[in-house]
Amino acid sequence: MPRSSGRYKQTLTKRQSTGFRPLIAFCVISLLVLTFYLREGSTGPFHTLRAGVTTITYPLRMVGSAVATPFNALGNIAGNLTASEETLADLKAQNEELTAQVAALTEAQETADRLNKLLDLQDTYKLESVAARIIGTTGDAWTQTVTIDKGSLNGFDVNMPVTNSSGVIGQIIEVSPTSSVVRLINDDSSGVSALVQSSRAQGMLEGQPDGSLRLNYVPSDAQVEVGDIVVTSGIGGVYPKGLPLGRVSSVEKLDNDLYYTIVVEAASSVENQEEVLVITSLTEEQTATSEDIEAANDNPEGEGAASDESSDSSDESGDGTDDSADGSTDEGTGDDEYSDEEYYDDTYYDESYDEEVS
Amino acid sequence: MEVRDKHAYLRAIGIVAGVCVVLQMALSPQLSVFGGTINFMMILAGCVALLTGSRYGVFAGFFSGMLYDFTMPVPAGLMMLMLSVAGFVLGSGERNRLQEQLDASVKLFAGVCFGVNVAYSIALVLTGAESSIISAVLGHGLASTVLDTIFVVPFLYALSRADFGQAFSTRIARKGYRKLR
Repeated sequence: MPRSSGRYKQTLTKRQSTGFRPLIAFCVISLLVLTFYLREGSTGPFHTLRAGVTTITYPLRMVGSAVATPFNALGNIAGNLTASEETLADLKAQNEELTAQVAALTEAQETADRLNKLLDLQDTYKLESVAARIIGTTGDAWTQTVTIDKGSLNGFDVNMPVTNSSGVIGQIIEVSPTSSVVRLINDDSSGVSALVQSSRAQGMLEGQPDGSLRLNYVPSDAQVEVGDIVVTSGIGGVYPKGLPLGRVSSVEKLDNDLYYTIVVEAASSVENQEEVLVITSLTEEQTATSEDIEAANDNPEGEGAASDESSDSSDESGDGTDDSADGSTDEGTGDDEYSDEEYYDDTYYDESYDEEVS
Repeated sequence: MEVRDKHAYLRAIGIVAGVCVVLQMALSPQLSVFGGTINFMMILAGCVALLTGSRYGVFAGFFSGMLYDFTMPVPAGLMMLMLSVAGFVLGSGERNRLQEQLDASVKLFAGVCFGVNVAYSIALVLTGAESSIISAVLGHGLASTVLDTIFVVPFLYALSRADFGQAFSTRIARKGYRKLR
């Protein structure tokens, strides 16, 4: 028995020592692997090896995923049913945080979209302008003004026109070093020299006390229809010509009136636009030339009306209007320098505006 | 006769290894209960160690850990180290205790498994892979131990009921361990 017991102990000792040496060796290897793994970059040999193994075992993982999906769903249901109050509170807090993040990102996305549109406008019309942000609106019910966050320190001055991505919104009427007040085009003391894009009929776009816009002083023999686009004429040297102002929403003409009663729907609104462009200077191309002004004075009802509708309108408008209409018609049609197509090219009007407004 | 028995033993180990590898690849990443996952490589190393002893247990633990490390998004080398030690500890008791003491084998496996999971969790915290030691130990460590212990029972039971002849019986081991090598 002692001999047998001794051999058994010897056997056990032998067995343990047999496993101990590999253990030491493997521990050293493992620690070396761990050390190299932690010190190497993401393109190191161990990471590469793992990527290879992952690629090889991918089909097996896909099968496992397909098999485990129903069980995961059950597990999720069970987990949700047994979720603790603390877990639910954490999830609610996380949900609120994520909701706030989504709102912030959506806001940033919309801001980026608006700024992109402003840049498009700037590029299309080749405007020399500075971007600003609307920081306040009118404080009373009688005036239509907004305040922007830049002023004379940024080179702003009184009378500078202001646009957003849709078109003209107004002009600066007060400047302080760090902010400016912009009178909107629908303020009742606002007036912008404008023309109907299709017929080139001239007029003055004026704000009304109710906040609407009217295109005044368009002769009743001009051709104006609902849906026509109204743009700046550039006369006066404040606004660059061709910028969108709005679209004709109604046209009225009484029998004995000299001018149309035209209501214009504004192209731009400050309610959903926070970023604006302040046009700091106009190029020569953007201002009306003396020929333009002379042509406008001579032919306020526009060329289209003059060439096509002159005889009809003169017949309808009666004696008092016949002379002026006819006279301007003759001059207008006879003036090749002021053709419709050439003027249209000078306005830089973006054709896509028609689609945006519609 | 010894050759036939050894082949039966190798076949059983091979089947267990194949099943564990497939389950580790396919199922382990998909199943998570209370933060714990099933480590079939731990189960494989435990089965081999409890069946054959510490020497093969160390080998099984090392290579099982290697497979785990290179198929899971964890620091490579850590599970190799843990399972090498676990294989040695599990196999350092009485040889082939599995066929005679299944309950004790399961308990031993559970204890070693808990130690491995806790040590592994702490190591993950130290290497920065985990941020909270409490969730690592109680969530990952404890839950994984329970899952591993539950899933090792069928394997240990099957191995305990397998007929390996007398090649790895305790009696043979006591009488002539050297002959088997």
